Amino acid sequence: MSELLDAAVSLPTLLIALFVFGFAPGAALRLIVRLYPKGDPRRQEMIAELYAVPRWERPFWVTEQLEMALAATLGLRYRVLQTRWMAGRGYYAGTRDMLRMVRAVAREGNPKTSFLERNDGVHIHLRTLRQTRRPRWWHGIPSWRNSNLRQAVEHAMQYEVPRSEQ
Amino acid sequence: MRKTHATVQVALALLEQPQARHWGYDLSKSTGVRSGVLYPVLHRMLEEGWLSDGWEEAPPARKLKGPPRRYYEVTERGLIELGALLDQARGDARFQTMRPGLAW
Repeated sequence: MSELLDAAVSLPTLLIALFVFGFAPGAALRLIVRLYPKGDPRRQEMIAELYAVPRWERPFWVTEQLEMALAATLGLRYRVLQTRWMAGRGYYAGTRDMLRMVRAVAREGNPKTSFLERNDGVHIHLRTLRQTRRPRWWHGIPSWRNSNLRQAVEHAMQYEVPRSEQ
Repeated sequence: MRKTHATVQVALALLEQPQARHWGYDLSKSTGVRSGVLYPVLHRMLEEGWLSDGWEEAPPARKLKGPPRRYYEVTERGLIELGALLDQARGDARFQTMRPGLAW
């Protein structure tokens, strides 16, 4: 028990950790692992490992899992959100340049540069695309210029980050 | 892969029993590396192909209750790479405090 008390930084920290993670560490952990993408083996692994951890250690172990899950997934979640946001931008534009942008976003998740290169060598700055944004009500129900654009946007909206990036 | 104390500790523990199955929590206990650091290290080794993973067999063969646990095994490539990692660590001043462990 003394190790438990030594491990805590302060009494409030100890009480918060015990309250949040000690009351139902299994339930807390099941919520935490949902930060990982669907199908990630770490979701099951962490839950299974919990049963190997001594009961008195579980609150702190679960706290560490929260830290680890946040560190591992925040960047990933941000890239996915950004991908969807940029795909949504392409949704309204309906131009060929937008189609290329959406494809690039779908391919890379998060473009490294703020430029996209067209087939004719012209570089398009993403900022110019930003200026074309208008509120949803302005456009009403968008109509698709062609089926390729629609497919590209749909692909980008369902974009899954490859296993190697997880 | 970056050479850190955690990586070297894990490599030492894995190569102590290269043919055995290793479990995340047990590795954490034997190496003293906390789980928030250990699992990302194992994940990177898995991605590099140094380790392979699998899931524990059906419940009757298991001592613990709960869902099947994930285990890690060192691959052929892992044996080479982990050995090379320890070789580099032996000559690195940062790991002087770990010399007794690295001397085997």
